Amino acid sequence: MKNRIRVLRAERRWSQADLAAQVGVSRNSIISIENGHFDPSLTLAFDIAAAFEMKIEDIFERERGKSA
Amino acid sequence: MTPRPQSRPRLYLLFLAFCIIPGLSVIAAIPWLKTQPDNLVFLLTGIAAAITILASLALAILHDRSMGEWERSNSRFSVFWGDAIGTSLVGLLLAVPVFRDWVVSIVTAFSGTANIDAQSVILAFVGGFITVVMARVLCMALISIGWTFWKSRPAREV
Repeated sequence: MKNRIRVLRAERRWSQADLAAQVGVSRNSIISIENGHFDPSLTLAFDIAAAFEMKIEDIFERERGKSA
Repeated sequence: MTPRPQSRPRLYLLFLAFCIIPGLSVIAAIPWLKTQPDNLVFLLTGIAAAITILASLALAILHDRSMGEWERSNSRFSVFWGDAIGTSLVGLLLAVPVFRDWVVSIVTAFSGTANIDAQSVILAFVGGFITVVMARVLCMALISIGWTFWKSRPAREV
């Protein structure tokens, strides 16, 4: 799953630790999600979207031809 | 936001103490245990082992509650593969003559006799159990570290 977390963070000048603290997960979780190595649950995706005050579909995008 | 359960350091310490104290007590009591009948020794060490296992289970539950989904994924992957690889590793090691000789020399050294008796058999059984557990724990830890590095690697530029 592709996402725009890195860009959105940079726009807000948030560190990975800042975002992690806001959504209540570890910094490693954010690193993995941001780099596309870990797909968050729907709950966590909603939490991340809420932190950015955006909709999930504006942050996450499913890559074609890839299974979950 | 999904609140993350707070870690509870006092409970952690309490369960950790229950994990460590029974084992240390058994070690400290070895001189006294040597003078006691076998049944009493096995009963006491069995109780100590049960307390340790229950406390470690409680510790694991406590830790699990404070984990996020990323950590839980890591744990699931590491336990699954660590269990399988660690257990298989011990089986494979037994096929290596040097390892078998080493096991025999350890049992002989601890039991104090070159002839196999009941004590040697029990010692070997306990040693085998400890080896399997240690191999599984070691493999789980290594796989968990590997998983963490793998999942934290930089994104591939497309």
